[in-house]
Amino acid sequence: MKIKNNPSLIIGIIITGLILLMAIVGLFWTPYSTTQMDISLKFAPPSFAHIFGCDNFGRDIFSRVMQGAGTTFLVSLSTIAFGMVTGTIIGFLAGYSGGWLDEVIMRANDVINAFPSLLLALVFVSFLGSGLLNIILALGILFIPSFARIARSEMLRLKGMQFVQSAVLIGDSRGRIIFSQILPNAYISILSSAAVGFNNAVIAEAGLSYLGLGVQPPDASLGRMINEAGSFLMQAPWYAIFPGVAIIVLVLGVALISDGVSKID
Amino acid sequence: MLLKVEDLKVQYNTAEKTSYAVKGVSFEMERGEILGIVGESGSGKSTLGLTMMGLLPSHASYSGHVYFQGRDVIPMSFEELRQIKGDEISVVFQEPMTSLNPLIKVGKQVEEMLLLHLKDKDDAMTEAPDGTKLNRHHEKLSKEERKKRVLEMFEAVELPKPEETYKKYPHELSGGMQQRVMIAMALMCEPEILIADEPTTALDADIQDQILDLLKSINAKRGTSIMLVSHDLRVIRRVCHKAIVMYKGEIVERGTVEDIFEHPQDPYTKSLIAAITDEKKNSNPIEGEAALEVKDLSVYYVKKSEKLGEKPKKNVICKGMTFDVKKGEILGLVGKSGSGKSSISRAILGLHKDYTGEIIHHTDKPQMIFQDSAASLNPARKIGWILEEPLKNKKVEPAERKRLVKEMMERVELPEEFLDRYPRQLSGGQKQRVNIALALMSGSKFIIADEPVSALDVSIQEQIIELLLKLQKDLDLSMLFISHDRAVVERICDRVIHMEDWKPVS
Amino acid sequence: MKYILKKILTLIIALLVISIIVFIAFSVLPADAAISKLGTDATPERIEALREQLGLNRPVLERYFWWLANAVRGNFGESFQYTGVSVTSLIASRLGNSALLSLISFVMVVVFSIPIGIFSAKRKSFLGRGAMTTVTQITMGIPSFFLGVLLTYLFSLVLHWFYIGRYTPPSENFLAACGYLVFPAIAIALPKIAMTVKFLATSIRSELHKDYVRTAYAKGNTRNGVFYGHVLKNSLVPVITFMGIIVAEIVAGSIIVEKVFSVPGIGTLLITAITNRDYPVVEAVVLLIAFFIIAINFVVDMIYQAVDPRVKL
Repeated sequence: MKIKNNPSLIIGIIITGLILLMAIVGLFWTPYSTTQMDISLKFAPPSFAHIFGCDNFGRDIFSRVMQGAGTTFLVSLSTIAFGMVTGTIIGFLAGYSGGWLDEVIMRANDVINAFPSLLLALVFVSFLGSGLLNIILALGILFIPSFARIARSEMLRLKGMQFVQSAVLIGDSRGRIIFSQILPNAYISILSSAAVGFNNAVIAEAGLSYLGLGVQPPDASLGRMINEAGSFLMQAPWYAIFPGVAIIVLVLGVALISDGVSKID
Repeated sequence: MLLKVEDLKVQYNTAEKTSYAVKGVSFEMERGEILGIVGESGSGKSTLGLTMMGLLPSHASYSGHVYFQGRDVIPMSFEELRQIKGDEISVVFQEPMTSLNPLIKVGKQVEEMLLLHLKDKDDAMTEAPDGTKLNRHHEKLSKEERKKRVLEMFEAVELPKPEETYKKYPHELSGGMQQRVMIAMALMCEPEILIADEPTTALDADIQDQILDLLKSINAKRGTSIMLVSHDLRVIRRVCHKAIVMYKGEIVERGTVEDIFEHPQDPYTKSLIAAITDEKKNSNPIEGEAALEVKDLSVYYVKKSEKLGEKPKKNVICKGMTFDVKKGEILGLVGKSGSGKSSISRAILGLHKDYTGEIIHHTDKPQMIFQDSAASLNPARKIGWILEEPLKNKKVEPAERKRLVKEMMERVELPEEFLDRYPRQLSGGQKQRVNIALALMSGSKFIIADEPVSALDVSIQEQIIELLLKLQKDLDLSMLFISHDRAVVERICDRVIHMEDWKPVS
Repeated sequence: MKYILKKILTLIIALLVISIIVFIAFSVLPADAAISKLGTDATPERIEALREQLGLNRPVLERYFWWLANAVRGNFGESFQYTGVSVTSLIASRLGNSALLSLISFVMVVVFSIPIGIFSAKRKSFLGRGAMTTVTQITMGIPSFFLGVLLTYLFSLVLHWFYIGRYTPPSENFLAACGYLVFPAIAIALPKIAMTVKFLATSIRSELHKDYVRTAYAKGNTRNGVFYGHVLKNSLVPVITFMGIIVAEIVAGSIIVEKVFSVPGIGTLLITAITNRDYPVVEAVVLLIAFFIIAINFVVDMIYQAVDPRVKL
């Protein structure tokens, strides 16, 4: 199917692209300082000057959302990259070699997979402590099993196929068989689960930060903003709403991309 | 006149293109007749039956008339047609396993027919040709009565132990039994026409014959008219009175089965018949050096046991096999499907390690042409990439690679543009040509061809065989040709050996 | 029967393995019980004395068996944070609230997602299908704690249907407890309903293309006859396994949503324990949830066996 006939993919890329752009710009420049407090602007409602309004310290919420989105991207992308690369290698090895190695890896996977990722993340955090790096590490480890499982099942599906036997016959090396012959057939399903994983990472990070166990100040976080806003819902509902909507829109964008990618045959 | 089809046209409309499946077909069918409809995949033969049943997918559009007992079914509403479906026209499909609902006991599935088609009292008895009265009246049957009818029908289609079978789920039955259940279901309401769409294609050879005999006896005993759709001329010859040959959505030949077989008019029909008549290759036994020697070969595979602590089972495929393939010879190896022929070829190629005995190659690395032309080409790569791969492994320069690949494409009679296409964009026959090209690409002089044509349509089979014979001559190849199809083997091979001679005694 | 016994055996082994992992994980922590209790400022002599007293200097394996022997009897030791209070009693006082919350959420998921899933799968028009997909897609992506915040704002602060923080436990007034828990349950259930709707609709659509559906039409079934007599049951089979995942997700979701709605449950207990490094509590809660999830998987397995004849007992 061509990109033209794939509205989910187009809309998804546009939405995600816009938020990514916002997050990248937020790394270098924000409309207002995110640390400067201005008591005269306390709970200022959305206006042209402050489109998302201001918080309890009079800080511009839009600027803070920009930075929070940056953190979210950083955490989720590193998590997924870590989980995907490690998981794919483990899964491919397990699938290609088979035998006891496969058995051990997959049983371990089964156990980890049975548990909701948020619970496991909480357990990890209780060992490692909170903070940006620990969150990435904890979530990254959690994503290894799901990728390993997909990579393994793709490997099992493909390694028995005749074109792989044919590759052996024409003299392809083992590495060439895995990376040139098998990988091109597996990457669509691995990438489309990367998108699902990305969204899980976004929600898990936001949840941990909401609980105060995730990203710690001075790093910005959308989840923590919602937590802080919880006490001021009466005075400034927008304080909670905008960071929340930012999360939803980002998740929607990536879900649409994943949906679109799965429709490419 | 039971059935009269007039100028029936069916087309499938997809976003990319419109394809015409049936292009203005007309024919008639008498009561009590077995009409065969033969053609290869894509000829529109299955579409005919589906149209009559209103079972075409939603992207299909159609025009024309199908008069069933004088009433045109084409303009009928879903509800009008629903009352006929299963009751007066019923159908048996190719895949009995997937055609039955996996979660419902087969008895209940057959019984559903009685619940769906309750008849009026005056439409009671009909008479079969042999004089027996058939009760077509099943209004308000009690539960016990319904079950009794189903068991009777199970007996009629020769299902063993009807009472037990009634309670079985589809997956608990063999393919042949599943198909008998499908037939029982189709006959439950004593239909006028039974459409059998490739009813035996998915079954083993000896089961195929049993099912075909059953269809014949149903026709004789009950007078049910049967429309038998098949790609296999042998099936048609065995069962049908009359036949229609379809090619690309049109009828190219029609008549009684004897007529068609003895005096075929159309060239396409002739080629179909030629393909199934035993024709032997004229060849002198070839003397000289051997390309491959196999001595005392026993091939087995080890089946891991499910239970812990149980010894793994050793499954022996052949024992003490000894033969050689001379240079420039095509040796045929014949064996039933499922007899483990592929394991032998894979052992010879070094892909299967569980064997004893000696395998001596007197040529460079042998290559293989696989049966499933689609599965043996990497779906993520273009034809050009695939064909260059053996040359890359030999470190051939890029420009030289391109030249050699183009040369090979010419040899296997494929246009150069195909180098830029993916395997899925090619037809089955074209893919098999690419496979042949790939096998020859590394310059090997010894080829193992494992059922290279059995997945192809008959007319394409012929072309691939011609190509193989031509290449063998031009390039002076030696070949081990493995097949279950004696006719094909005798047509292409210089010498034939049989798997059965080396079967282990069990 | 033999199969069930085998299953129960693997269940027990899985629990043992998890208990070992959890125990070892918590015993290699840099801050052990003695330091946690006395604080890092305590003199090394005092810490050493307490270690000896608590038996922390004995080998890991020996400690594990002691711990296990106690755990089997329901004794998980004392909380670090609340001195003198047993972990078991802490959990017992909160278990009911969490169980009720999860139950209400699960009932919501089942009651709403099946009819909506059927409705969604039956949409044929491009627009209708697009609208359904968009709604489910957005709902799936709402973090449940944010949904909780929105619900609190709307129903507590604006509409005053309930008062946040004024929760009555079910033991005092069952109906009042349910009335309060409905709101956090919505926050937990809504994204899961969307997930289940999508899963069921996909399952139904893939069933519709199968051969037996064509057979059902060929038999002369009405459209509803085909759908309700043949397609639906087949489509629901994979949903059973999916429900196992959903239950686990509900349990995880309730941890965080309990905090939003200030429900005194296992979730809030766990979060406080993690924040305060109250390891005996964390350990016990993790084991409890692990036990529950393994049990749920077992139940799902059993239901699956009963429904699908293709799965051999």
